[in-house]
Amino acid sequence: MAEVLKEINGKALADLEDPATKQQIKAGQQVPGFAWLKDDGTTLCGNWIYSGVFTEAGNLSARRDPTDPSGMGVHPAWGWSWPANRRVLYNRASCDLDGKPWDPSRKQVWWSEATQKWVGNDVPDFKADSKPKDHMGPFIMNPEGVGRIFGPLAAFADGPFPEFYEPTESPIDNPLHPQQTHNPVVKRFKTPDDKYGTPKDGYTVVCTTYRMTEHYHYWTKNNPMNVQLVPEPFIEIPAELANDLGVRGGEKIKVSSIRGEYIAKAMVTKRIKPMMIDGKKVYQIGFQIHQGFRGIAEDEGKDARTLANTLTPTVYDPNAFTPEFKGFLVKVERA
Amino acid sequence: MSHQDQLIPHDHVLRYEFNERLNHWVAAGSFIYLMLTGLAFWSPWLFWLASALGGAELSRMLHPWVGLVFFVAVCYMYALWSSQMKHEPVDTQWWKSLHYYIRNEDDKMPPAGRYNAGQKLLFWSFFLGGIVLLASGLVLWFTESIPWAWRWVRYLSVVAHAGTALLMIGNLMIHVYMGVFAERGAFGSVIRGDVSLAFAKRYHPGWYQEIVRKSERTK
Amino acid sequence: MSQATLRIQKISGHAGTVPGEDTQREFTVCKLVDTTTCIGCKACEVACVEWNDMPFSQTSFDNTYQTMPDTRWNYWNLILFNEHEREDGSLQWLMRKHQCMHCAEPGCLEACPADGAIVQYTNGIVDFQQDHCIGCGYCVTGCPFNIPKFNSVTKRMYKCSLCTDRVSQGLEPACIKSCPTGCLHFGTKDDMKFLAEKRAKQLRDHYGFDNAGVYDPPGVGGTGVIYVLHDATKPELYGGLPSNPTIPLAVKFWKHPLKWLGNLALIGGLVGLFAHYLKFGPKSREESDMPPREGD
Repeated sequence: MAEVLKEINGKALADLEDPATKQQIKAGQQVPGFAWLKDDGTTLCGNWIYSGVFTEAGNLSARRDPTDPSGMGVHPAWGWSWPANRRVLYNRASCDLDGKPWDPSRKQVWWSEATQKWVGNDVPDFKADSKPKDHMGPFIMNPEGVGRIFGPLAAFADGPFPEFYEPTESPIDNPLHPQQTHNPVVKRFKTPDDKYGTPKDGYTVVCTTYRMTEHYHYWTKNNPMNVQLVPEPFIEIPAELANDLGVRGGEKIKVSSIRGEYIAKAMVTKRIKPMMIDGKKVYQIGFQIHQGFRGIAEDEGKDARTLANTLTPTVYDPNAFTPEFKGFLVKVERA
Repeated sequence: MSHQDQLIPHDHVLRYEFNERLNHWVAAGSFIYLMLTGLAFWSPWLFWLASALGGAELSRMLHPWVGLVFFVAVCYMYALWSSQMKHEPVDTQWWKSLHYYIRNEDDKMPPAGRYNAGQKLLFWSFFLGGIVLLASGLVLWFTESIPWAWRWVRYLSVVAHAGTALLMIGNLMIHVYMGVFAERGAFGSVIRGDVSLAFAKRYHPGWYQEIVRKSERTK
Repeated sequence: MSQATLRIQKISGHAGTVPGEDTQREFTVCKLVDTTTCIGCKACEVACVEWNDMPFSQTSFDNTYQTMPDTRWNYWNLILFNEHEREDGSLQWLMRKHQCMHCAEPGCLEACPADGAIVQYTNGIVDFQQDHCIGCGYCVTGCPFNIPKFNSVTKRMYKCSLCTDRVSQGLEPACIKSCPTGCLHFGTKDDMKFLAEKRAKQLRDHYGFDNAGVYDPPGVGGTGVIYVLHDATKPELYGGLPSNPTIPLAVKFWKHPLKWLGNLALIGGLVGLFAHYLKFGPKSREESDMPPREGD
């Protein structure tokens, strides 16, 4: 692991000198931080935000010094935090326009007139020699240098504040404002497969998908140890729903959305309780994503070889493009 | 008359046929093996017996199989002799006279038939003991097949198997003592098959009378 | 070699004394399992299989997250899951890490007839020595926790070794090392008892678990694996943990009173018969030398 971390930190491939500080490092040495990285082939780095974790001083992420000089729970010598061991991002914002901390009893960073640099109990997340009177903004990753509440019109497709909407497939109308149940700017595709089910069509059960500790995405179904822990896919259904369907644990059931179907054994559990929503009893079920087309069990013909996302709607959040794979409607029947 | 029968001296009578004698030795041989390996598992001081008989692991492996052989032999004995082992009034008398038997005052014993009461007891105790050993032995042989909820069957079996085996060894001690040391002439009955008429008359007068009646009829 | 034998406290099926018995000053080790912080992630199951290089076996879905119904010869450590509905209607998903308990008075060792097949080290670890095992399965009868498992190919019994190979080198067992929540602790028995009682008290005082307590059954002299339970009055909820495990009475009877009686009877029988022959001799000296019966 240490070898990998060293590569991630990066090293110099030629003798280098920092023009500002006149510090020199030799070819083959670990770079002290991302400021040394170049785009001319004289440095090599696995990930710039981690550059500085494993310098010539050693593996800084293994440090275990619990000293907390500020008393605020900032332990600068415990481990290493990206970028550049900064513990609180945008920490210049803890000071006023003159570079003095707003609260003298909680000093994170401050401007030092004597050394003409920003210093502190934390590494300043700021250009170190930028004088306060030059009014450089603390939110250094935004072009305007300040945080955003009301961002520019082009920055959000859906904003400025978050609002609650029901997922595209929902058993109810939006309780906050039933006349606008769904997000009006949610992204949908327009292929013939992009259909959406409603309770009137018989899709009355809420379904979600999730991951297991025993598996990791799609590759552990090829690993005998993981397959030993969870050998087959299963669908978790509430005991009450199992009763309604006359299904016992281990029997095969078919879960279908308007887009596709998934057949697997039922896990009947008391851990999922039916929900009373808007005076109606609504069931929720869930199943794991890890099985698919090929794998140890799949190649032995032990499961249906369907992917979980055959059922999910390809609808996505207009700002972050996160797909709505975690809440949709299905019907459940014996297989 | 077979060649074998022709070898019987004129003052002897055949007591045990070949199949009876062979079966007896199958039972005896298997019992000795079971006893030795069983005692090895019974006591750490005798564990070396298992090692001496081909290794402890082999002894554990063969013990149940030889147990099956013993049980089959005992079942054959049942088929051969059980009808002759039923309790008769003379047996009650025999037990009451046991103190004479122990002091070797056999002339004071009531006339036993082909088998005396003591032999009948030995027969039944080997047979019933064999059944208990088989049942408890099966539980111990396939111990993991007994579900956890039925573990009391295992507990019963370890005590029944060891306890019954000890009783069987007690049986054997008396049986060997009687057959080899106490009743001269008895041992030959399970080797060559015959005993002297005097032996028959002394120890099994009832049987002796039957033989005499039979030979008088065939004269 | 001789130093190693001094670290053995008890030996199964052994005639005579144990050379190392009470010859060492050594702490008893203990594994503390806090069931109240276990998340059932099975890292400990994987660590055990990986550390001991055990071959994988077939499993199938059985309406539970539990990997398999019981431990196996090649699966020594298993999280048992139980969906328990309490009286107030709330649901608890109980998870208990199940493996050999390393009893101070091991029933397996008591029942075992094979010399040296089961040993107990001075640090309390109970270890199967498969090269001396004869595969008779008496340990299955002796164990109050249903732990020893048989391999039908090698014909030997297997179980958790409390990573004796790691512990003897000053490392914690593999399961302890892998636990991400820190619900597994390893140390001396005294330290682990202290930690466990402290946690149980915290559960009672601050978390509303009035019956929280530590499971360290006295019926087997205490165990090398102890549990903190939300409800120590109902251990059976945690995958059938026995509430008062002891070495089965039948085994104790068999190995002590019956042993004495039996040995006395065997020797007594031999001596008695010999004495009888000395006193009374055979029923007749020679075949011909038999007095005639009355009435002949």
